[in-house]
Amino acid sequence: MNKEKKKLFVSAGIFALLFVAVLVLQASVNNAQKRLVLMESVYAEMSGNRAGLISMSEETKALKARTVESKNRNFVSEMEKTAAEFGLSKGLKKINFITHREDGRFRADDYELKIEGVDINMAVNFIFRISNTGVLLKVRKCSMAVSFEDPSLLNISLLVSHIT
Amino acid sequence: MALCLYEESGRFRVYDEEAKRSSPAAENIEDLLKVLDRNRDLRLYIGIDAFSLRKTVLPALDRDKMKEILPFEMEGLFLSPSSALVFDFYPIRPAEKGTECLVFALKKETAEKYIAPFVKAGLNIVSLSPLWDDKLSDSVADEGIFYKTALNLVPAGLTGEKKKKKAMDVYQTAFIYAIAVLLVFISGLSFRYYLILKKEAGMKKEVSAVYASLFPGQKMPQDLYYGVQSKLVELKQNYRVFKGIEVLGILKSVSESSREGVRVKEINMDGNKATLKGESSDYAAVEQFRNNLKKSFSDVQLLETKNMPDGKSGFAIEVTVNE
Repeated sequence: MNKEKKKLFVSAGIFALLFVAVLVLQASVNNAQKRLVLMESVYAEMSGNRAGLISMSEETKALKARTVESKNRNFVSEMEKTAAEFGLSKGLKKINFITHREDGRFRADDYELKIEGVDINMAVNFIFRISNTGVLLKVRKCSMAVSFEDPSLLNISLLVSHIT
Repeated sequence: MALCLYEESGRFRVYDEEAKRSSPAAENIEDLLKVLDRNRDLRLYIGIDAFSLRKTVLPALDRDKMKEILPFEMEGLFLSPSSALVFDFYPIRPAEKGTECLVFALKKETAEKYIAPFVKAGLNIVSLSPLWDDKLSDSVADEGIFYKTALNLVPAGLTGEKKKKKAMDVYQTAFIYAIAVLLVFISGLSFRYYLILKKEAGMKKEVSAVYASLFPGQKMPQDLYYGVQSKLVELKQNYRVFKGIEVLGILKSVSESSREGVRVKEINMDGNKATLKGESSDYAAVEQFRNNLKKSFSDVQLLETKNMPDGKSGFAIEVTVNE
């Protein structure tokens, strides 16, 4: 191989090497850019709602802890007891077991509660109390309507899950 | 203007046509090659003994045409075949059937022997001519006229080094520019890559900090996007398992949004939506109530309004609770 051909091969080699380097770098930049976009979306979600996510995490932890206590409680007697405390024994018209569901980690027993003829203050206090007793409740549906007999009173229907 | 190299008994004398002066003779060709300027054209003159000469009459054509037909005209007149020789001629005088000429022939291999070292050294030989010799005085008037004729017996393909060099220079320049462009690309891309990595590292640090507070004691997933996303989804799902309708929160928001003349008579809550039904003194009060609700809920839709028999406006509004 003469000197000129050697020179030509070396030049072509250098050019090819640099060209490949450009391609590799371009691919790496594109890849990093994609990663960055994905990371930005995670970052935006986490930083934008940081306080919300932290409170969600803490609340979930606290609720999970309550499931242990909740397991040993009887839902119906707890509701009756709470209603009695508020003088709602007459108003608590119905506690019906509907069904139960399991998602592998927790069991949820669904109940329907009907309370009639309560004023708004009593209703608020009752709902607050049942949400904070030993039984862990999840309100799935709630319906409140002004009573026909006495428009100052409410009829309440709740569909709740007792989580254990 | 060229540099003329005169071979004089094995040594070379250099005459610069531009400066019009001679340099001291070089002892051998190696020494000569060292001192020659690579950008100058070179004319090489060698002793007449290397050439074979014949007198002949050639057709009166122009010089280039005559040079073209020389190998055919001279076939058989020299010991070697025309294909092994290089020819040129010196016109002596007009003759009856053309021009009487003195034809110079040089073996190609002899010409190549002289020229090769110069070509190898990247020098640009433009002509190879015989040196003046007194033997020529019978046919040629004098030395000055002989040199002016500028005979050239360089075999085709051995000249044009300058052209080749120029072409090479063009390629070299193009190559250098291409390399420069690639290097600019490489540096630009590298810098961009560095900036992205730096930004990514900063973001990773932030994400790690939030992740650590959300999932204490848990190792950060390898795949930051899908790993963290799936943990967030899991967190939300777990939260939803326990978290039902915020009845008291909705009641509080409705109460705060309510205004004089509006009476909510029924609320139905299901999932993240709640439907409020009631009546108001007029339609403007409903609009006001609806606008107030927008402050507490992500979406507020007026589903229905109707005129009641007592002159009041009935309404149904659906609100969507913020996640």
